[in-house]
Amino acid sequence: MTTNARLFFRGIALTMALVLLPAIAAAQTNVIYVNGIWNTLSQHFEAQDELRRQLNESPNHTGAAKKSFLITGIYNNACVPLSSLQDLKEVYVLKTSEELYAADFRKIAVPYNTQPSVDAAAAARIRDKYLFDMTPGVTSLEADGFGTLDMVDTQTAALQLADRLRSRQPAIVVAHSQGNLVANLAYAVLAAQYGNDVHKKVRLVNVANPSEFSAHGLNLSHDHDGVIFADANLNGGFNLQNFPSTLNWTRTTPRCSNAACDFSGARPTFFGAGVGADLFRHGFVETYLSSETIYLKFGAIDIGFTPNAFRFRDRLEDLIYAAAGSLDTFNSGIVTFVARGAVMAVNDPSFLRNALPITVGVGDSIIFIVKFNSKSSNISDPEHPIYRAESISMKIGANAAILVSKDLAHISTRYFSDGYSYIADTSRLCANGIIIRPVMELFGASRSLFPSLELPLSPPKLSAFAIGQRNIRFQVISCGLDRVSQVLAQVESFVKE
Amino acid sequence: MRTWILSGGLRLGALALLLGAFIAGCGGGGTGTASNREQPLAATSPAAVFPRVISINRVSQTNLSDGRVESIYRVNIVNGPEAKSGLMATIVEAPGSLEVVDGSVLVGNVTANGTSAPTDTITIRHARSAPATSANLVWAVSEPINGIPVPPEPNSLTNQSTVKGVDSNANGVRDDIERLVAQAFGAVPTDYDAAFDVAKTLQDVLLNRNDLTTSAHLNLIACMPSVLRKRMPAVEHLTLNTEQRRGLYVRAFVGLELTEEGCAK
Repeated sequence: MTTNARLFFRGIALTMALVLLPAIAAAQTNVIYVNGIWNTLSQHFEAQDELRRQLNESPNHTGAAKKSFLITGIYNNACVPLSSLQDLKEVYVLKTSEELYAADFRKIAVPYNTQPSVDAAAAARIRDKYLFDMTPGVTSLEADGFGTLDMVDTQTAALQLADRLRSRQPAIVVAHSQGNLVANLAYAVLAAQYGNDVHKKVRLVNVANPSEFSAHGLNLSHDHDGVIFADANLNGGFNLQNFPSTLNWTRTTPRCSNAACDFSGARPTFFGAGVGADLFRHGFVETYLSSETIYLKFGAIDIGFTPNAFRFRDRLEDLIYAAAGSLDTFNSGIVTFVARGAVMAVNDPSFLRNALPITVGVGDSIIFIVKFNSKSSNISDPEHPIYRAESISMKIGANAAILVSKDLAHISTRYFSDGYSYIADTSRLCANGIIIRPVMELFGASRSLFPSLELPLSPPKLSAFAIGQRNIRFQVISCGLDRVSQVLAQVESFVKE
Repeated sequence: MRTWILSGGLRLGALALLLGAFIAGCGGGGTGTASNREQPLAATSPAAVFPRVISINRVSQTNLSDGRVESIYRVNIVNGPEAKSGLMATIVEAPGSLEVVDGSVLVGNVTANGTSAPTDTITIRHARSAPATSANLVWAVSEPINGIPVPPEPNSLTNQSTVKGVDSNANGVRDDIERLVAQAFGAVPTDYDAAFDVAKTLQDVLLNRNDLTTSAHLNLIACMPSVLRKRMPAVEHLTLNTEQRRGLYVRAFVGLELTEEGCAK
């Protein structure tokens, strides 16, 4: 080959590389880790490394399902001394602000896989009142002189995170401990700027979450975490929920009238961790990326977890994949079916927590995977092997009900002559089974598409407003309560005809 | 230590334990107590202890713009009946009229009952009429750790009274950190070098925060092999053992993007 030819092919190769580089980069999912307090740089980097190792080396996702992640971080607040209680004071101010902006935050929190309804004005209020000015003005600490200057590092972290999210979008924030309070504020900044489009740009995965919110419903916090949960009862019961009363720090908010009230936090989503080497069961690497087994709290998270993968690190990986998958979906321009369902209480008819982003139409088929524990065990994690899994098909007819039932004693779907499945005699079926039926949001309340369960013998008609409506929820109603303690119903597939 | 305190009335004790655990994990705990500090091998008092510094000789002096003089001295050391190696002699006490710029001398090896006049020097600033003398300096001669000459453990109060602390040999690393690095990393030269660099760049950030110093430290941590980086919190924690030091550290790095992009793999 002549020199010119070599140069020519090198040129082509270089050009191809330059063309492909953005594509390769685009194929990566951005993850931004935000540490909690009491971390140095090397500890932060080690957390990033461990997270990267888990995501890269885990066998839980393989082949086409395996994603490539680009993991970076934002350095959050760090070590400050015992003498001034600076860290706790910052958490106190952040949690107090959270009580003040709670109503607004509910207007911007959206389950990760749901069509967003983000109130940009509410987000702007949070940003302007509680981030741009981090002194809510209602705490005894501020009366004692703790103020803006003391919060400047936390403010910097939140603003820098928001900036980084703009430049790395779409991105998943994995926040640990106090980093969640910072991440919530950064999310408010983006929600104020982008409104509903923020759902294409960011997901928050909460780890050891001291906030009462999980902005996208992806929260990994176990009930024995002694730093964030009073019920863990570690260290004499001192934790981020009850420290105000211990230190006699007072505040005035809608929930607390000039008193040293304890804080509320998000409920734990997992349980079952034992006593480990990590004293307070709170460390990101030591606990939340450990190989210890934990189980899902009843109805806590609406994602499909990897079967037989119960370790902390597996759970975190699944949450990140759920976040990544939903970002992909909402950025694809085609809102396909993404919801996987939720755990349902059998004796407490429940709705799938997230309305499914689908439009129900005649001929559509839906297959549910129903998992149930027929041994009445206390284990509430439907991923546990004690649970059986069965599928239930639902097909929507032009003039037919779309109620579907299975008799758990026989696991047989009842088909009718028109080829569609529906229920003609709910009272009989409900003696020993479950029913799944679609409902929809109407005027702020979940309404059944059917007037009641007491259906006539002839196939009931689908309510007129159901066809063509988006964001359908499904309700699971139990029968045979003595045999089944809990049921998970998740949608396995949705096929439009 | 696991402590279970169930009484609500004792929660403040629990708070102390909780925070104590975290603070210990992030730089608290001080520089150590007298019981775990190495005692110097020798000091001017009592005089019978060997090895010890017996005299100093001025070898040069420079006039300073403030009217003072910066003098460079060599030291003379006498040893006892046991041969020593890797020694370092350090000024641990000096009159307030003297500004010790570099108060440490690398002595090296000294034979049994021998004397030594190391080529290394000390540097002291003083009034022209009041130079340093052998009599107004208190010395400590310290043995090496893992074969590495190190200054003696500094006085804890003095060491924590300023951001800079005690850096008697003016090498950019506090004496207590230098000893820790030698102890924890000195067995493997490359590990020692890396940990020393971490300590030095971190001290640079605390004393002179700017883009150059912060990025130098950040890049060092970012691109360090994980197996070694896992051991760095010991250096960071001891370095950040006062409120002021921790505050400067936070201010230097908070909000920065932490990435290993750009590190050679």
